[in-house]
This record gives sequence, C-alpha cells and structure tokens, in this order.
Amino acid sequence: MPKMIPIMALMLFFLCLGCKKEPGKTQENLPTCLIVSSYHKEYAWQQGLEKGFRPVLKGKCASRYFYMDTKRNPAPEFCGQKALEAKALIESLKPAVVIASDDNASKYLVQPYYKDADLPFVFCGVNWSVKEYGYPYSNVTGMIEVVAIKPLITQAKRIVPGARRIACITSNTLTELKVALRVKEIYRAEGVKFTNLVATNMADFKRVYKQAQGYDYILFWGYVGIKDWDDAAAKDFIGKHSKKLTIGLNRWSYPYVMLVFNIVPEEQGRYAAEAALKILEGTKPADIPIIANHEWNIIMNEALLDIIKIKLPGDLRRKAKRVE
Amino acid sequence: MAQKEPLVSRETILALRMKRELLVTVLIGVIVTAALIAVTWNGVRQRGLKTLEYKYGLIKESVLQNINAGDAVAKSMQALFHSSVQVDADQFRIFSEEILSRYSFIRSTSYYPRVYSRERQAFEKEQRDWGFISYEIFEYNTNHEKKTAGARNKYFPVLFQYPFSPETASLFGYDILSSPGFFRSIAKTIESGEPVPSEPYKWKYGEGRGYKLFIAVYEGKNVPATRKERKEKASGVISLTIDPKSLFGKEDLPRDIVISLAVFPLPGKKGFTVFHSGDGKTVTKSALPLPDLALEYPIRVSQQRFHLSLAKGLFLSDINYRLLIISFVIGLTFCMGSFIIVRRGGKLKILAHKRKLAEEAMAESEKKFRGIFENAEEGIFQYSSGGRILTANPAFAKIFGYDSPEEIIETIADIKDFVHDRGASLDVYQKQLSEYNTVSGFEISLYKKNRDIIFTKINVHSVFDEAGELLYYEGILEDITQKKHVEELKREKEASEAANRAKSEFLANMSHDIRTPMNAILGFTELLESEINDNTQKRYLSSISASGKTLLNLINDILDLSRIEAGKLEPQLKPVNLHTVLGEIELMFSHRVTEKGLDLITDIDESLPRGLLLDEYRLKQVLINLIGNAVKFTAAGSISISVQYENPTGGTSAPDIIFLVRDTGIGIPEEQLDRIFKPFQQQQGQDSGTFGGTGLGLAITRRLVEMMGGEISVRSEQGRGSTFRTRLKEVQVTAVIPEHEDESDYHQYIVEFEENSVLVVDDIDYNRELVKEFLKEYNLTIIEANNGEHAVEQARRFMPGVILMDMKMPVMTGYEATEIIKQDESLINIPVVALTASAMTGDEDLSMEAGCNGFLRKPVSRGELVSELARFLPHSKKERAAVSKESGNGSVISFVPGSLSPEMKSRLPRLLERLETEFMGNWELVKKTMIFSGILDFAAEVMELGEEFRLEPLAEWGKKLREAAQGFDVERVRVRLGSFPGLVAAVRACLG
Repeated sequence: MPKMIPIMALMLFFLCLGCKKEPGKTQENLPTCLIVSSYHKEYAWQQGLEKGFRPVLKGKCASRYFYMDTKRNPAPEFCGQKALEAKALIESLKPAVVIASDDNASKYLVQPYYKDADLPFVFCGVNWSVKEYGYPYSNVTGMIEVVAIKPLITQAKRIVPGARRIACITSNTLTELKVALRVKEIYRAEGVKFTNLVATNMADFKRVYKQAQGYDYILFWGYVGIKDWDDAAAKDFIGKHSKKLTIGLNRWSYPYVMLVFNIVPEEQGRYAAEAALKILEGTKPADIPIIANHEWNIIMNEALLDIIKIKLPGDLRRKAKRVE
Repeated sequence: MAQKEPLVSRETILALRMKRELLVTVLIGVIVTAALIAVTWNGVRQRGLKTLEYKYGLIKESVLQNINAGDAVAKSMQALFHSSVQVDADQFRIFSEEILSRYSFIRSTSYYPRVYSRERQAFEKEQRDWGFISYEIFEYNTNHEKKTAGARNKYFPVLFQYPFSPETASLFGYDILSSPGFFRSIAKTIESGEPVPSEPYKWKYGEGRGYKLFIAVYEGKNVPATRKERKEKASGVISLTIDPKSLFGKEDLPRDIVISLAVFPLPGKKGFTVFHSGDGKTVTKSALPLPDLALEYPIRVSQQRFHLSLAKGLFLSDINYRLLIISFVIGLTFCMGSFIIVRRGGKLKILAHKRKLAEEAMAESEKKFRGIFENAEEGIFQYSSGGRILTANPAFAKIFGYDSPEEIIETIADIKDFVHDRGASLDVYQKQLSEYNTVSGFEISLYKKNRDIIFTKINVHSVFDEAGELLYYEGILEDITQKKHVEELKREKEASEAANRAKSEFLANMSHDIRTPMNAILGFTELLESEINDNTQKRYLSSISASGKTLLNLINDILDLSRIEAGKLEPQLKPVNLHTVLGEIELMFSHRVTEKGLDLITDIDESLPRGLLLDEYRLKQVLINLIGNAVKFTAAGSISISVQYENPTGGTSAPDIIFLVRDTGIGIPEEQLDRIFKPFQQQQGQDSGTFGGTGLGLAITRRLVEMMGGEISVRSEQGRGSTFRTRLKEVQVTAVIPEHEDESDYHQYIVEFEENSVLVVDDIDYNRELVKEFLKEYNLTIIEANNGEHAVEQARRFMPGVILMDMKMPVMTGYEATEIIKQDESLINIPVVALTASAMTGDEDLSMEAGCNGFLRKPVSRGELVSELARFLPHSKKERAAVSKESGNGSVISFVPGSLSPEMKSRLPRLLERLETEFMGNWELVKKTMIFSGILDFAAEVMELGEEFRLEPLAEWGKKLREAAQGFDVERVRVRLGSFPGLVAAVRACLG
C-alpha cells in the first residue's frame, strides 16, 4: 500500500491540472456593453430585440441593461429624466459601447449628450427617418426600423390586382400619420388614389371603417391611438362589416385585420449587437453604414379572410403564420 | 650521346592522365547513380499509379458533383427572380439561407440590379428614402478606397446580400461592373443566360482566393431566346461566392496529393488557378516535381470550364532510399572533386578577367570625368599661386566671353584682372584661402572680356604636393547673374503683394469704419421716418437716407472693384429665369422713368429657356448699372432693353445670351468710347454736378461681365444715344425653373415675439441704442454689453434668448466671445447672430466658424433684424392681409354665397363631401407630420380639386400652400395649413 501513495499522489496532481479553469476571458475582464432601451423589459418588441442581442453578445462582452420605460410614460419630462439617469450610468459604468434601442433613447440621450462624442453608440429600432436626430454622427451607426411597406404593397398588388383606390385608417398619432404619409407618396407615384381616414375614437372608427369598404382594399394600422377602443365591439363590428381585404403593419393588430406584414425585432437586435462587436474589434462606427432592416413576416387571420373569400398566393400562405 | 629533351615534361603528362581518369570515374559514377534512380522510380510509379487512380477518381467526382450543384443553385436563383413579381430582401435572404445551409462551398450570395445612368439618381434616392441613408453607387480606387462610381452607361450595384451583417453592409452600393475581373464574366452571363464563373479574387474569408459564379436575370418569366434580347432585357445579375477548397468536399484533403484547380471564365482565354494544395504555385504537368504521377481532368458544366490537376509527391517511404543515398554519395564525391579542379582553373581566369575589367573601368572613368569637365555648365579651373590660369574648361571660357579655354589661358596673365570689386571682397577671398586653404560659396562680381560685370559664386581649394608645397589652386565658378536678377524681381513682387495686402486691409477697415456710423445714421433715419409727420422734416430725412444709401453704394462699388482686381469674386451660379428678372428690373425703374417722362420698352425672346445657370445678383448689378446710366443720361425719348439668345455652336444646351440696352440720351463722343470702362474715368465734359457718379459703375460692369465669361461693347452717337451690348457666352440651360419669390417676410407678416430677452453686444453706444429702438415695440427685454468679455458675463448672468454680437470690439472680439459661449455647456444653445460692419468676403464664413448661428451686415434695417430674430425666438405671425380679412368676416378664405352661380352651388355638396372625406384625413396627415414632400402633394391635390370644381379661392389656397412649402417657410406653411378647416367650414356655410 505505501508503494501506491506516490502513484496516487501523481494521479491526483494530474487530475488537479485537468480541473484547472481554462485560461480565457472571464466576465470580469470582458468589455462592458450597455444597452439603453427606450421601453420596458416586458414589452413584446423589447423582448424580441433582446432575443437578438443576447446570443451575439454572450461571452464577447458583459451586457448591462437600462430601461427608460417611455412606452408607459411618454411625457417628455419623464423621458428627459430617464435619459439623465442613463447618462449617469454611462459615466459611472464607462462602457466600451452603448446600444440605444428605439426612438426615445436616440432623441433624449444620444442626440443631446453624445453627438460626435468619443463613446461609440449603435442604435436600432429608430423609426424610418433618422434625420430628425441629426444622424449620422461620427460615433454612431445602427439599423433603422422601416415598416414592411414595400412587401405589403408588392403582395397587395398580387392579391388585389388592378387596385386604384386605397383607404387607410389611422389614429391621430404622429407615428401612424408619418407612415401613412410615406405610403401615400408611394401610391401617388404609381397613380393610385390614397385616402387617409382618421379615427380618434370608437365611433369614428366605425364610421370610417364602413366608409373604407368603398375602396379596393384597406390599410389599418391598429387601435393604439383610438380612444375608448372596445375590443369585443370592434371584433364584432369588423366581422359584420368587412367586404374588402384589410392589411396591417403591426403584429398586435392581427385580430382586426386579415393580413399583417410586420418586421422582426430579432433582426434589429442581432444586427445592433454584431455592429457593437465590430466596434469593440476596432472598427469605427462611421465605417459601418446605417442601414434598414431586411426581414419581414406575415400573419394571416384566416377567420377574417374567410369572410371575403379571398385566395392568397401559395408562397404567401406558406410563409404566413396563421392566427384565429 | 646526349638524350633529347622531351617536348612535354613527364610531370605534365602524368597530371593530364590523372585528370582524364578522374573524369572517367565521375562519368561512371553519375551513370550508375542515374540507372539506380531510374529503376527505383519506375517501380514506385507503377505502384503509385494503381492506388492513385482510385483516389484521383474520388476527388474528381466530388468536384464535378459540387460544380454541377453550384450550376443548379445559380439556375434556381435565376428561376426565383423570374417567377416572382418582385423579389425583396427578405425573400432573397430566405432562399440564400437555405442554399448556404446545404452547400458549404457557397459562402455568400448577392444580387445586383441593372441601373442605367439615367435611373441612377432616382435609384440612389429610393434606397436612401428606404433607410440606407448614405446609399450611393460606388467603386474602389487602386488603393481600395471607396469613391463615387464614375459615369457609365449602366451599373450593377449590390442591393441584396446574404449573409447580411455589419461587415457586409459596407458593400451595399458597390458596382460590381467596376471590377475588371468580373466585367467580362457578367457580360458573358448576360449574353448566354447561363452561369459563368469569374476570375479568382482575394476574399475576406481567410487565406486563398475564391471566385464568383454569376448568372443573369431578365425581365419577364423566362430567359429570352436570342442573344440580342438577352442583352436588352437583362434586369440584373446574381452571384454566388464559391470557396474552391470546399468544392473538394467536407473531408480533409489527402496531404500527399498536390491538387490544383483552374477556372476558365471565358472560352479560349487563359485560365486562373483558384485552388492549389501545394506551395501556391500554378500546377501544370511540366512544372510538377515528378510529372509521371500527375493526371489532369478537364471539367465542363454548362458554360463553366475547369481544369483539375492531381499529382502525387515522392516520399522516402515510397522508395529504397539506401541505394539512392549510396549512389548519391558516389556521385557527390566525383562531382566535388571535379568541382575543385574546375574552380581553381576558373579562379585564375576570373583574376585575369578582373584585371582587364579594372583597366577598362579606369579608362571609362577618365573618359567620363573628361566629359564632365568638358560639358559642365560651371566653370572649372586651376591657377597658380601667381594668378596664372593653368587649366580651364570651355564653360569657364564662355562665362568670361572667350571663345576657348586656350584663349583665356594665353590672354590672362593674372586671374585678379577679372575682379571687379578689388576692395574688401578680394581681401576677404585671399585671406580665407590663405588661412583655410579653401573658399566655399564665395560671391564676387567679375569683369567679362567685354568689361561687362557678372555675378559669380566660387568654390576654391589649395592643392599641395606630398611635401606640403602648394602646387596650385583649383575650383568651380558659377555665373549667378541671372539668379540675382530673379531674386531681385522676387523681392519686388513680395513688396508689391505686401502693398496689395495693405490696400485690402485699408479697404476693409475703411469699409468697417464707414459702415459703423452709417448703421446709426440710416437706422435712426428709418426710426424717425415712422415718427415724424411734418412734410418738410420728412423731406430732410429722405435726403439723409438717400445720401447715406448713395455713400453705402459707393463703398460697395469700391469694395467690388477691389475684390474683382484681387480675383476674389467668383460667379455664384444658380437657376435664373430671365423673364422674371427683366420684369423685376422693369418694375424697379418704372417709377424713375415715369418721373422723367421716358418710355421704357422691354423685349425678351419668348423662346428663351426659363432656367439658365447665372449669377443673378451680379447680372442684376450689371443691368441696373447700364439701365441706371441710360435713365441718367436720357432727357427725352426712350430706353429699351432686349434679351436675345444665339447658339453659335448649334447646340441647345449652352446658348450665348445677349442683352441690349439702348437709350436716346446724350451719347458718347467716339474718341472717349475706350475710356468709359476704365475705373475713375468719366466722359470728358460730363458734369458730375449734374449727373453725379464716381466713374466706377461701368468699370465694375465690364469686370463683372468678364467674370461671368462674357464681353461688353458700346456703340454711340453723340446727341443720338448709346447702345450697350452685353454677351454672356455659353450659358448653361437647366431644367430647374426658379419660382418667383414672394415679397419679404417682414412686410408680409406682423411678427409677435413671445416674452424673451436679447443681449446686444456692441462697443458703440449709439449702435446698441439703435437696436433697442428697433425692438422697443416688441415683447423683448434688451440687455447690453460693450465688449466680448462683458458679453460672456452678461450671457451667463441673464441667459438671453438670443445674442446680437458685433464682431470687431476692443478688449475681446465677437469671434472670441462667440467661441467661449459655444464651448460653455450652459450657453451653447443660445443662438448668436453676428452683426458686423465688416463687408469683406469671408466674414460670414469666419463668423460661422466661430460658432455664430446667423449673420447680419450693418447698416441693418428693422425688417432684416426682426426677420433674423424670428428665426431663433418663439413668436407668432399674422399675415398682414389675413389679419384684415379675419377682422372682416372671421374666415381666411371667404366665399360670398350670393356671388356663386346656381351651377356652382349645385356642385358644392359633392365638393364638401370630398373635402370632408378624402381631404380632411390627408390634411391631418400633413399637418401633424409637417413633411414637406407630403405638403407639396397635398397642395397639388387641393389645386386640382379647385380647378376641377372651378373654385378659384380653393385653387389659390393650394397655390399659396405650395409656394410656402417650396420656400421651406415653416411658419407660413403652418399658418396656411391651420386655415384648412376654415376653408371647409366656409364651403359648408355656403350650403347653409
């Protein structure tokens, strides 16, 4: 037995060698990536973004999240206060790069405090025109959120060939009106008559929805800006009065429209995270062009589609997610 | 009997024999070694070939299969584009994702639409509008730096690509056609409709090279049948990036086989190696180390041609190496022995040869230095301690005006005879030479043979023999007379430029110092004019104002002339409508002409293009000068202005524009026609008391015309009148037709500022006083500072809404103060408007560089000041006309129901329905978003509606909105849009 002791000791030594942690970057010595989100963590869009961020950043940088929560608190004073908190966090944390998701992070944090600063920023989810934030800056790149209008128009042409008069139902919110105006410009260039019908409350909605049935097809952006929206009453009304194809652009509008063309938050998150890593590798933000998203999905409300007995092309049916 | 001496000694014969034997031994060794290697090699080859044929076959099949797969993938992508209405980025992504997951040899996919040069702008704009905010079609220069793609008939820019990441995003817009390596393959795929490989290129996926497989896509659902149609209907190109290494499969390649794959992009042209598993060199049969083990396979799939070469290297394990080593040692021994013998003989030969070369080099060197000596431009000489010239080259003789070196050597007894300056210079020269034995760069004036004086630079040193005795002096002499002249001229030029700078500074200071009091004179005059009612006093004020403006014009004229002469004035070209300009000028002079009882006739060729690229301000200056003179010198009769154009080159894009200004005035004597265009020259006998003027007008006019690339001439008859003819050459026609601008904002609107404060910074008290007076009717608090330092203090203390900053002040200038303000985080957002009396070009740029947000030039009028402040301070505007209308009937647009015809009334319900359904929604779109392109569309829609219903006020409303939007006048647009519900209400009211 005593002869075995040295042999066992040797084996133990080699086992210990095997147990030793592999050398590499630990969480402590990774650079810090701060993600400043305009919205709150539980918001569906935000969760999609984070699905994009996390796998890309994992093991490459230590991620910290700050939620401005401005979806639930849109008052400018609140947004400004949250931006100051984010700024204080940046100053204490000294991150290597900041990802600013959605408009308010750009509007209240990047534009006033970090224009052309040394700290690099990557934005994502900024609605369409970034010019109002003065982008591009030397220290900022990112991905613009362009709603899936192009595929919507292309596919609508296939579904309703020869359409010449389009109605669009919007609330009175700036975001919806901006998108509607852009769509109007496209249709106008193609010689298609575009009429915007504004609904600020439920009664308005019922009136304009009926009026819109006189057009070739209808775009409806959703109920968010419509006061006293009654979910059950709206579904009932739409079920009874729909004669034409209705199309939306927001994933949450699918109970009220037949087709939804929506963009994918994961793409925004993934691209922003990849850009952040490129910056950490030494690429200047200005050398990464600001671009728009590419991906889109389609959601098909089969129950509503059945009312108007319209047939979708096979490839769209295959791509579509079906909901009741 | 004495033995006969042999002809060759025995030792020599033995040595020769030994050499021969050595040679024979070496030969036998080499033959035996070669035979052994050959036998061994043949055995290896036979065994190797049998096993390799199977291995080679597997490799070839793998490559062939993958090339076939690539061909099929390319065709399926082509089919995707042909079968879809419009493939978008997402469809492309989904399809590409599928392909890349299946075929590891395809690394990426891209799509390049065809864009004709005429479509380029619209295409780029579309991409930018859709989120690629910096999208442009670009190419790479030779340093691989991005640059805007040059003009070409068509482009194939990257529009879609997969994988899509921040790394590949920078390729969006890259014109694939700009790459010579791809150009021919793209042309070929377009012509054939088939997949065509490109030349290989160094890629970003690591070491080695890849190639692209291009396939064209066409308009319509199929590949067109004929080559001509294919060329016409190609709508884009798809590319697959191929990793040649992966064509051999996922398994690791056999290490003992050298594999080489070459691609032939174009039939009959050279091929390119895209993969080589060996040392990277191109593998061909003859280049292989062991050609017997190489096999080659040509591969052809559709339009794709490849050449696969496989070769097996020779390894020690394959052969009986002991035998080879023995053979090798024997051969090496013989070879080394032979080498030593040959080497010794060779060394001797080399030594002989080296000696010969050295002799030749010495001769060559002698020849070369002789050449330098003979052909040098500097004089080279030697002279004895007694001053006798010993040697001289031809240049030395030439410098002194002698025909040959011999002549100068014979003629000159003492070199000091040349010296012109025999005083201090000669003493210094001799002292230096005797003390240091060398003189370097010594400048001295000398006499030539003809006693002309020349300036020379001399380098001389003493030459001694081995015992240290002086032999002679030798040196180089350079004639620097010409250089001296040039230096002199340069000094004169610099003096002249300094004088010009002084003149410019003087003009700037003079202008500033005159404008500063003028600001107060004209400003307070303007204030008094609105406060005084007495007609006599008003006349006096008018005289002060007119005199002040005349003085200002004089300063401007002098500055213009100065700028022109300094070459600092350049035409600022923009689209100009001459029909409008002529109308404005006619309006400008109508009052004066009527006062003098003259007729003013304008005539413009109706076919003259509406859009011409001209410097409108300077053109107006020219016309106003000419017409002003015509009015001044014409007592009775008429003044006519005609505008014509000619196309001397026959084209239509750049006509010559001719302006004729005729008058029936006093005319100009023929002998004075030349001098009227010269500065400060007036027509002799012209009574300056009667006609006034400085004599600068026509001088400036001529220079302005010349600056715009034109010429001016005059014909005149004394007592009958004059005709000034101005021809502007090759004026560019533009499709942009400028709109007629409205009258100024200030006169059109009443501005009402919200409560705010203005910091007025000026070292002159009365200038601050003037601003205070100008703004006293407004809801603005005025804070004052009398220098830049004080301004910064006041700004920190009061945080004003805007700062009016004089730029030239004692203690601290406005530039410095503005820079401090703009670096202070608490003050950075306060707008600073430069208010300066300086009128030199570049002042505005300097102010903007310092951080100013606006610029006003003294003397400033109340209108200019208020308009500028309105850019920065919160305010509301009321249309002067609208105010009166509002007060009348409560609606911006008024319809009088009684004035409408029954037919019109019958159309109103339909109009109202459309306004309330179609237009109100669209109005809310533009009112809330304030996006100007949308506002312009909306204005056009309202105008169309007004015309459709023949309702003039409606069309007029749309027109006014369009004008405001075109002028990017946010406030006017907002006010007008705000009145739209009132317009609808007015229509409703008409229906009762």
